Amino acid sequence: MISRLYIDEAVMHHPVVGAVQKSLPAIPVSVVPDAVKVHEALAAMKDPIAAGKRMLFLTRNRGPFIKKCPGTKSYTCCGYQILHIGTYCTMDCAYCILQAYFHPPFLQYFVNQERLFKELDDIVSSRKPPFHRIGTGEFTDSLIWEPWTEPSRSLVPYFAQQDRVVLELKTKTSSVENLRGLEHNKKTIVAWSLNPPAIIRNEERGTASMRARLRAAAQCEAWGYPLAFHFDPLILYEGCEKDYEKLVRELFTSVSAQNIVWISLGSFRFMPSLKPIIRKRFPKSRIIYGEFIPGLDGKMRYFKPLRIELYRKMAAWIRALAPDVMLYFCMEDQEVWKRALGFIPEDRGGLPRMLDESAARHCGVVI
Amino acid sequence: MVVVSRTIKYADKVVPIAEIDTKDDTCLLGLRTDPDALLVSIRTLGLINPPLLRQRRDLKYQIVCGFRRIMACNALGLREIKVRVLKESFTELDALKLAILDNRSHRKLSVVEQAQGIQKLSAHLPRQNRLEMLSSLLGFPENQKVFKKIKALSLLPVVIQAGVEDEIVSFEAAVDLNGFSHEDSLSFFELFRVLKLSQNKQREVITLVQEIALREYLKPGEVLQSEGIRTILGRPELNKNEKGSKARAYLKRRRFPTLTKTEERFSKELKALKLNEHIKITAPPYFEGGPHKLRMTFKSLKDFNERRKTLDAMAKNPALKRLLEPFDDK
Repeated sequence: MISRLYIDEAVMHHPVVGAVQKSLPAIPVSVVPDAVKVHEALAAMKDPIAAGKRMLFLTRNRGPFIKKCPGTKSYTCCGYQILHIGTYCTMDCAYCILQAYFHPPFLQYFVNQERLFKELDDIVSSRKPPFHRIGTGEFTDSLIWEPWTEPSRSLVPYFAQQDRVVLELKTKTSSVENLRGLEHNKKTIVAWSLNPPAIIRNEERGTASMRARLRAAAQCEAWGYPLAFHFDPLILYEGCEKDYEKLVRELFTSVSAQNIVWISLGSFRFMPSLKPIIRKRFPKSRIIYGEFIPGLDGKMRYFKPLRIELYRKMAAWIRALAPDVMLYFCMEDQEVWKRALGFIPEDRGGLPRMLDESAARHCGVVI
Repeated sequence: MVVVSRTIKYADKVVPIAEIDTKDDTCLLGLRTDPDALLVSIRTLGLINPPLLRQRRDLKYQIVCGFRRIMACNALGLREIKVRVLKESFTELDALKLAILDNRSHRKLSVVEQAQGIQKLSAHLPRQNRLEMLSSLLGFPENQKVFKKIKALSLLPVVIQAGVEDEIVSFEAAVDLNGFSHEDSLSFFELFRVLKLSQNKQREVITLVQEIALREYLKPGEVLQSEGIRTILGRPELNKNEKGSKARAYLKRRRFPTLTKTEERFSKELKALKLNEHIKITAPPYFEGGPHKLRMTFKSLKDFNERRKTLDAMAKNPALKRLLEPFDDK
């Protein structure tokens, strides 16, 4: 999987670096002064976006470890915070925004976690944290790092010993073995992105199958972890409604609705710059040929009535099996909320508040 | 500037036209050797500038410069003409460079000629500095993006390259066609022959057809041959412009059916409001969100009061509610 390890010379003696090298014993290693060398190596590759998935750069994070999720004013944002442990992903989803987000994208893990925990300490010890939800799954998949750096082994127990903030680990893998036996105190939510097998097969290369994801979720539930699910991106294709309905049924056959902290729905949206990348790297993919229009944030989105229609149906299928589950939209406007769910978040204190309350109910977070 | 790095030595000769291989297009740039414009000149004044030839090993002459002059002499029935024959053994690359420089000495090469030049020269040039040498010789900016576009043109069927020169298809649209099979690119070209479309509209049509084909698992040619398009093209009462608009509207409806339906519904309700030319309502872009816009013009108080009455009537018209809720099917 990893074909070359690059180590930033500034962190070459860091214990995490030694641990990673141990876990990747036969991989060639280059110690480099900065990321430029990695950029140069990637630039020489035929498909740098794919090559970046096999090059791991161990470095330090020079910026903040805690960042605001890049939402926009035009759509309702959930107020999520990102715990920035690393970038990019070993899996290869056609729709992945990271292909166009980083220039060029490559696996990058920040080993200077002393500062990460210092930042978390500052937030948690204030007793009035400015947010109650944080996750590692925005710029990377939360669990791909487990074989090399095992971040969950330090993060999960850390969050377990406080009651102000929940950690969400969002993944498309089934690599949950490291979560077994960890003291979590329900302060870590394990979350999966879900799509029907047809989408996983055609658009999500290298990810775990839908069944494997649900099995992993059931396993985490058995270990007492609260769960979350993200139907994002929802993709319209012929027969999609039947597939999504079946997926919803399978979800609630696999896990109990009471243990689900939230479920998000988000339709496929993409920056225009991603379109030529998908066309080139996934020539058989049809996902970019839906009825997309430029949204208020400049991203391409399905024409609104198409989104509303699918959301309405998804909501009805979910509500039929889990009437009380916290269901929300990722980056949609009030009209969509009103038409698909019958209310707007502002009527219930705003979306961040609604999610915080759900975290309080399921995870015991004090808000 | 790349030059042929020696003084050219040639011999003035009179050679029979039959000994010139007019089919050898090694040094021909562009697609046409149509001699029409030269016929009168040569008939009246004779051949002022003798063409430059190179003698091949089979002793036949290869034209380096002067294709059209030789074709004109041939058309005028001349059996022999004055020529200049290169004395030394010039390589094919040198001869080609000479032809290019000769052309460029009195005019700028067309993009089609540049494309042909790239195609013919590339095989002879080393990879290193190829772009620099080609751009300098052929006179296009030393830019990878420009080079790729011109090269793409050279890979298209000759009829499409000629279509660029004849302005049937724009250069940019032709470059877009390079991504298709020859069969499909020719189908597009046939459509552009019978429609009047600007560069942007040609490119829009290409994108729409390509995406419809991908969505519907068809070949682009099949989309272009679909009944909807054939019906539009077969309507004799429509001129090229009208056919162009209708074809684009058809493709847009097929590519974006829900959006088109919503736009049509909006137009219908707008019509039902019976507004005059002084009051205009526009929907938010793509109905995605944000406000509708109302534009009103008036010159006097009287005008203003009249518009106000129109607006009052509009507010009571049930079509306004429907217009503001375009996603309701009721």
